[in-house]
Amino acid sequence: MSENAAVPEILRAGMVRGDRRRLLVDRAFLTLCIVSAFTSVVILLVLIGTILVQGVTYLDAQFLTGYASRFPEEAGLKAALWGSVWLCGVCGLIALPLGVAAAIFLQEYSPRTGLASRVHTFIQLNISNLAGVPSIVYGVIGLTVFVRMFGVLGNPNQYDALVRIETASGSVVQGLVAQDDAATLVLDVLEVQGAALAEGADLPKGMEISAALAGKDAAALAATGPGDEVSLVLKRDFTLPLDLNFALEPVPEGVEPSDVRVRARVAENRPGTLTLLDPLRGPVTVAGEEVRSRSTVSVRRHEFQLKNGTTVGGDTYSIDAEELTVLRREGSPLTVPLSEVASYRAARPLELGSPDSLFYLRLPLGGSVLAGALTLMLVILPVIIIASQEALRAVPDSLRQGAFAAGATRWQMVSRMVLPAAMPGIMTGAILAMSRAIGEAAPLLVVGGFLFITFTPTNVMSDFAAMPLQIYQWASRPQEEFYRVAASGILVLLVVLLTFNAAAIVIRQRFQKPLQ
Amino acid sequence: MSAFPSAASVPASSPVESGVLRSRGVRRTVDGLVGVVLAGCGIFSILTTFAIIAVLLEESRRFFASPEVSASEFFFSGRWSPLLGAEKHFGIWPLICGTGLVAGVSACLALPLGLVTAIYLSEYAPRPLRAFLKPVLELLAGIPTVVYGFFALTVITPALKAAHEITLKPLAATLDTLPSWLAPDGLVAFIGRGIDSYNALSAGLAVGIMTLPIVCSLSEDALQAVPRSLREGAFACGATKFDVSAKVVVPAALSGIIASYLLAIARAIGETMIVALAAGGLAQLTADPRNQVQTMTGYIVQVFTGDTTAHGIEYKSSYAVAGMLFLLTFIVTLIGYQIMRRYREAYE
Repeated sequence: MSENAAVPEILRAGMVRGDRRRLLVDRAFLTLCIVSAFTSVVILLVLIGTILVQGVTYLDAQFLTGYASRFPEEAGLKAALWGSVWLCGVCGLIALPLGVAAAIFLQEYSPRTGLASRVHTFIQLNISNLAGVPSIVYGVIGLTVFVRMFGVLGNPNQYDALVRIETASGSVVQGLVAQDDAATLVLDVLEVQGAALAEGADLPKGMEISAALAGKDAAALAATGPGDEVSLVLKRDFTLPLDLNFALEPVPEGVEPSDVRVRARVAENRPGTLTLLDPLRGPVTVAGEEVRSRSTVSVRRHEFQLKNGTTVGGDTYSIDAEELTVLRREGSPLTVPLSEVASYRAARPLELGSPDSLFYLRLPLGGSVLAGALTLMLVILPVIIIASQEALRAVPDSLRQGAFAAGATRWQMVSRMVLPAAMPGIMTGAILAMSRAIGEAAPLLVVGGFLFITFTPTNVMSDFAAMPLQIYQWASRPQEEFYRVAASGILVLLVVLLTFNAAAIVIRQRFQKPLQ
Repeated sequence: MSAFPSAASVPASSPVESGVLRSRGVRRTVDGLVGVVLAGCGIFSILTTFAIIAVLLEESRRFFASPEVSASEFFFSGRWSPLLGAEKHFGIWPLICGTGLVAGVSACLALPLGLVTAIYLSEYAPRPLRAFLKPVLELLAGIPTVVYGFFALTVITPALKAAHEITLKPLAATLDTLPSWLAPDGLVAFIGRGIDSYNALSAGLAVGIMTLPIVCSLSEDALQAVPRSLREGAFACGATKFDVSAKVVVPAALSGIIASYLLAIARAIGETMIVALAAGGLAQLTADPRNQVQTMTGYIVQVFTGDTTAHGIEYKSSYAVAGMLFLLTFIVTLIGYQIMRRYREAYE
């Protein structure tokens, strides 16, 4: 007994079971190992294979140069491709210097004693924790901090007005104007009524509502007279050309004004009157007593001077014939009789430069390229810092000591010796971080990347689409045809990522000098 | 005291003093400024953390301050229906259940497969094979999660449905022919019930594929860190390769392996795009992965891509959910790092 206890456990097991059985177990385990190791190869092959098979259908020049469309054969990736380029460019310009600098601080400027060293250790620990934060949480933070800027400066990307569209066949689509410029009116659909839209009407709110009323497309819609059936496809961020803008329901000849619904952006709101901004006809002023029911939903930030001398600030929630309801940051919504309002002022976003120029800045950032890029920066910053630190750590200490011995300051040592030596490693890490940024969809979804957009960004304040978002949008459509479009998008995304990875490998092998 | 040079004057006594005398002040100023800027960049990460915590806490506080919500309902109720219906319910458990189900399925796939693959790579694989398998895993790690979501939706779910057709459905049909005391109708119906178009199983498998490279590479690092001498000692005792791997190397690297598991689970909990595409949007308390579920991340996506205003209770609720998500992943990650640090066997 005592002899047995002294023998190692493995040997004891061996003596009891016999060699043959052990060898059998060994063999079986090796087989299991090989099977599991090649499972990942099989998964990769199946993944790429299925995507290739589905994706080749729509992968052509048109796909790369066309914009989003509701017809699968016309759908293109151009806006998303350029959106991704802009996003990653801006993100890289901000994140790379910041990340590398933080890595240099952590690696080369580490204080050894006192409070500074505690802070240093804390930052180090903190960065590994930040790397584990889910990207969607960064999205939520980006939305609050960058897009809305805590709501202090108003909400630039908020809805302006409730819009109601009546189709010729009597169906009613109700939605919020998310954005309108000279050319388009973008709607967020809230509600659809009418049997003609029944197909797809059980889809969740905000998702696509497709209504195949007839074979005509939207372009033919303008020429459609009363009684005709039309094909109408509405979805989140549906873009409607202004000439089809029957949302504003202009007054037809011979109709009593009391039956007219006017729905437009609120331009001005004085006691007794409401001035609306009709993009086609300019300001329209309506007397208060002519307004029959709540006609406008607006969540734009306003300040109201009340007759009793107080000021109410907040997002106007609704204005109807008698009342104004203001949503305040704190507390419940405040309802004020219109007769109490003395004057009002719309809080405008802070602007710098012209919206058409390359250099244009607006606060708060809204769902812009800059806000998206800053959010992505939060996501990839820990990755860049950790990779750069590893590259710096690989630089031998003799280089540092040599530089110090020659009388260099710390920064001279870092900038002329350590950084050049670590550059290939830092570049590799940076490229891999950027490829993470290109494929990241969740934070952009929250920050407000557009899912349906037909232009490329002109400056950092432009709205954007991004490749992973576009893929998500196509993949979440109910029509199977769009799966193929999504697969084509994935192929393009994977090619971009492979290029990035190849570049990283080339840099790693070409420029990495042995530092001994 | 004055006999000793102060710290600031030390460079003045360096051998190259005369050559740099003129620019010394400038150099030192630049050096100091650069140090401050670099420190600022380092501190930025702390600011990020504070911003995360502050925003989530403040917005969650507003959520709980709303009259429709009570903290006890949030933490102890099993109903979550904030977007639809006249009466809104905010009980977080269905979301946690959905998250757990998806993460659980992913763990069942990724943890064993990842470990065995890591053992193979570390202990068995010949060099050329290793050189082939490692890039494959790196490729899998580099694929964007939206692609995995698409894969789950278009490949895994149909495959699962097909598998269901040829396994569980005939089984249920066979059981149905048996007397009902042997095979109760409820059980037969349960076994035979189909797979939802959106389901936790498919999403979980895709998340498992996504986390597989994480488990594999971190576990392999841990296995590689076990010194050769331990293996040699075991071989000398007559152990087979399996004995060495399973009874010596794996126990020695256990802390690293567990840490890799926890980090992979944290990733699975926080995964968004896969569940947004493949897991569905119905928050329910269920343990059957064939059902559609909503995860915490899925709910956040639903809120921000839907039609909620910046003031609605749904909007605020997403911050509370994001806070829970952050807390959960933070705790799991932290435990992972602690295990990695504290229980790491130090071999020299």
